[in-house]
Amino acid sequence: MWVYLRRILFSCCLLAWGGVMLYFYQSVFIDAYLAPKFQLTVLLGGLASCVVGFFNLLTYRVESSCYHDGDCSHDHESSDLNPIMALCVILLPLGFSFHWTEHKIDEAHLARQSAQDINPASMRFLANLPPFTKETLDETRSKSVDGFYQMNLLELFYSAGDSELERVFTGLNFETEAMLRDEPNRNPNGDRMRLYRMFMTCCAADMKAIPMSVKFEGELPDYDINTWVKVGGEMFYEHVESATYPVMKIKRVEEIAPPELEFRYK
Amino acid sequence: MESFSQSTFAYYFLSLLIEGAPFILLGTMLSGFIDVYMPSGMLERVLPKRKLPTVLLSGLLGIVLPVCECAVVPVIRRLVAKGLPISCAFTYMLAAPIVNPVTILSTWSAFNEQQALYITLSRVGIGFLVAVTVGLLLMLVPIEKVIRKLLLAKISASNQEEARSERTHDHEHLPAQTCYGAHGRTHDASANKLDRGKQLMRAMRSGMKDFMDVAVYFTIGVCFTAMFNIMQVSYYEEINSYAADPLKGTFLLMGLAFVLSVCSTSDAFLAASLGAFSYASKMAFMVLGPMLDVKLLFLYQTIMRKRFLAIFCVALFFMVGVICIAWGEWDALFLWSQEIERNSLTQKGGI
Repeated sequence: MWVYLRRILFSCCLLAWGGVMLYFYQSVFIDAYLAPKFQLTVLLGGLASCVVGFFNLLTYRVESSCYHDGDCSHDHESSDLNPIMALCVILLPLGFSFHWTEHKIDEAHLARQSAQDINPASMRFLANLPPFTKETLDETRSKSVDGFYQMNLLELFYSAGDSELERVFTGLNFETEAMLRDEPNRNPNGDRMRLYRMFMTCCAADMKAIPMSVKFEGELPDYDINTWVKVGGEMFYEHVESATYPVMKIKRVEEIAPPELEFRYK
Repeated sequence: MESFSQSTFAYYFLSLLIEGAPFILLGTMLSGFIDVYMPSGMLERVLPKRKLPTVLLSGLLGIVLPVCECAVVPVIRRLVAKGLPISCAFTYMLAAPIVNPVTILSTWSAFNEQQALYITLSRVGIGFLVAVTVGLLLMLVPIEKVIRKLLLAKISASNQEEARSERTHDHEHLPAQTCYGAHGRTHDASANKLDRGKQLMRAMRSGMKDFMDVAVYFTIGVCFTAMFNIMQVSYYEEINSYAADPLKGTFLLMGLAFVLSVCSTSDAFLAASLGAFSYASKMAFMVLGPMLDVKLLFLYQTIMRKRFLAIFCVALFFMVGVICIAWGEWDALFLWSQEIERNSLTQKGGI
């Protein structure tokens, strides 16, 4: 009886995990949790988990043990774990998390995360960028109506880790979209704010705030914290101690609607 | 923990869980099928008779027999009991969780756009190097000093039983009873044919059992990781002071790998998220974790003597740390992989 119960409980656990994966795959929130390249594996994992769970649930009464009386030590189901304890450990955090999640980082945590400075040069994988010239910029990037190169904030940030990119980008006008907040660092004259985007490599837990200072002439714009804006301006770079940071001298700024989840964490 | 937020914890927890769960499932189902369908004597038949090539080959067996660290310990225990040399068994045990297609694929995916080729090749290479070194060193140690007395007795009994079984095995089964065990002998072809369904069922159950065993530790590991990721924002400066130093950062992350006990099939995703740490520190996290962590410490006690286990753990910890720090200082492989990826990007054009 205990063996049957264990099979039923374990099958239900697999079904629960499979159900969670399938739920997230079909939900609009999947983009807030996982980068697109992992989303198909969630579907496949969810389906496989459900298939194995159903199979084992439907066959829980079927005997499959080996009737050896000799040296056949292949008990395929024995485990040192107490099944009830195992279920609690696996399902309770899952259940609570499902109940607690708001599908985003809370505001206080986001404020702390977005206040951090990252040295672009410390990201060694920046070395992946190919040799970049004004010509490649013209070939690969589209321009706004007023002639600003449209570029992701991440790419502008990364440009500070490469002296060749810095040389090409300095003095050019770029347009980008990001969230806006006060600048907590390197702001002696109080004429700067901070643009940032949350960037996801694989999943939400590895998200980082990629920041870039923006410098205003005159008064700072009066937007709520974390308002999404589209800005246009001229790039320059400042060297502080051993680090180089990108800065944009703002020429125009406008409030925009937050991008769809699909594009928000790129 | 002033910054702890339930909703952010839940958000991080779920994201790590749904990202890693498919890989956990894949690994444990493979393990279940290997458990049922692969004859246990096969390894001994396949391996060369000379010790050095055997150890080297054992380090690569994970490519054809992919199992994660949780599944490999019971397998090794069974194989050691069947008489597989401990040098080979330990080499396979340490290498298989790293040198296997599932881990290679997940490492590649996790470090996509972060020097994936460099990191993946290095992880496999260092994992293999450490495992083979341990295997070669074990060739010099008497088995009595390594293996528990109980297991030694089993080895002795198994040898006698095996010899007896070789002579009498065909006559041990009752007519209506068929063994589908992993000992590689076909007893009754027609009965086997009729009961292939049961064999499949046993594989599914074995996979499910492995999944539960692993999922428990994975869930605990994900909880710790989600909390760590929340805390690291509040203690950013303190952690960065460690992260910036390859030596301190490496030993900090090795300690973390030991505590978190995350499965080798998905630990690369966690390592990739530890952005402030050096590649040497991340590498040490990914190499040590599959070889030594809290859950493995308990599992290893089913094989090793306590005194040997203590020496083994300390030696392994420092060996991995030193090799990874040395690797971090060696740029040749990095420059080579960088060249390959740069060429590939240039051909595609643009950033």
